[in-house]
Amino acid sequence: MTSRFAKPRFAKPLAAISLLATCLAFGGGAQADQLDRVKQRGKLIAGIKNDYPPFGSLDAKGEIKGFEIDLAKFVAKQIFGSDTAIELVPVIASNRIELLNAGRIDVIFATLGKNADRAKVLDFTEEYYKMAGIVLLAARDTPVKTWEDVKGRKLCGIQGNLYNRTLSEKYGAETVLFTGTAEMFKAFQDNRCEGIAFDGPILTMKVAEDGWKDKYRIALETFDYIPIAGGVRKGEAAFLATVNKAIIAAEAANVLTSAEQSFHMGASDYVTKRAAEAAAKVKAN
Amino acid sequence: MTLDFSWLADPLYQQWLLRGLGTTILMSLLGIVLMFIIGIAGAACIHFRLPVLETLTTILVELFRNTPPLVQLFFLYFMLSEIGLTLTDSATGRSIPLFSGFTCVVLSLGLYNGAIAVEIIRSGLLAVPSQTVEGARSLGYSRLQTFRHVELPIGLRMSIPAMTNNVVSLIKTSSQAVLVAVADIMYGATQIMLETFRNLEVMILIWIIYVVIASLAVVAARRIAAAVRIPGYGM
Repeated sequence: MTSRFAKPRFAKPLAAISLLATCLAFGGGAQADQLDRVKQRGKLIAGIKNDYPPFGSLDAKGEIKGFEIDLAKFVAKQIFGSDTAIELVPVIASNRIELLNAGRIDVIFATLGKNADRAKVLDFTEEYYKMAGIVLLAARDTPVKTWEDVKGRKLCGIQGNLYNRTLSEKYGAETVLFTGTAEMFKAFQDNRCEGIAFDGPILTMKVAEDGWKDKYRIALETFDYIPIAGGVRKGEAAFLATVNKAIIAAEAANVLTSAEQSFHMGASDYVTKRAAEAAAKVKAN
Repeated sequence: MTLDFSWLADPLYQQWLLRGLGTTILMSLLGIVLMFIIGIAGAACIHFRLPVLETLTTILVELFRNTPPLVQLFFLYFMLSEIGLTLTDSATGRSIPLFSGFTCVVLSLGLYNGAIAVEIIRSGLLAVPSQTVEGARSLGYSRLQTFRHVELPIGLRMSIPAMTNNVVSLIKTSSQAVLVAVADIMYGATQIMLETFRNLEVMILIWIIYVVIASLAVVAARRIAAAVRIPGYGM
């Protein structure tokens, strides 16, 4: 009796385990070249921001527009000859690297700051922007004068920002962190925190808006600048080289300098200098 | 594939996880208390067929039971201050929202699972044999006394299995606190994942922690059920 029942009882879990093992083996072992896969698919899947002007946000017509969107489309054009051969996947700071490494997206163009920790889990492309790492937006009459003054104060921010740890560990701020910028701005306007500590460009844009400019100001400038680069999965040398080439081509073709103008970011020395260098590089080849 | 749990040695991470665990447990406990208050009060309103209150309770139960708890949480957190539920901070003179993130989570847990608790307790009350109720009435108990001393005690015992599910669901739902920036266990875990990129390891730990908390709740419910068992009643 027991032997008759023993087999089916163990067969199911065994089958499940072997299925899982097969999945793991394929997941880890399938090492087709990323570039081939992208080319075969016929489109580039890029992780971008859609709540982050001027880098990527929805316009009045519901289309995603921005500095990094222009870049991503140019990269797609370089690879496929058409800037419509692209799928834009909105990502947020807290899920973009996971989405990349899970294979859901080919490349991150989502205000990804370059640092050593991240370099362990992905490969950075060429840098294409230099961003004020963190600034503080607060009420016009805020008593905060230096970064040391934020000690014990509630500051709104975004989960996954590089500087959250510095803010709480070094400066002793009490961080109130959200997943999206809409929630962060709403919570700040409701006075759930005394200030917003977040990336410079978006806060500079925000503070110029109606309803914001007469009440708030950038109270503290950044203590650190951070290079922004794209990100691809580790060890995909051919794909990385292709994307890098496309980024330099974009710089050389003044795609980024004109994007800075069309999205009212002001012409930064960094982007202008890189455009000149890229143009020289392209000419040399 | 190798698992690396060395990040657990970081004192800051330990602090985040322990504080987060404390917040999760405190939120769940307060939520459970609120859930029982709402559940018993609501079930009584419907059971006694109180005019107006019965209809009102039914509408509220349907409203809170049939909408996602996350929508309710966002409503409490972001919308209430819009309708004017604010108070003035004495230190800065600014108007701040009446409910903190923590309070909003407790309220949303209490309301969502409380609405379900109303139905669970009501079904428990309906399961009390009519002969028992009639017996109590014939012994001279008033309707309220019958409810207080006969129907509710038996009804609550009857509802323990279904209520255990509800409590476990409440504990799990508390993990959405991370979305309104309340530093619960999930919040700490998210932060650690973002810094260390050891997503799998952190998720495994969180998984275990939730299983342990929920299992403890289930064990506690079983103990309570055994302790309050009515001998010979078959419960």
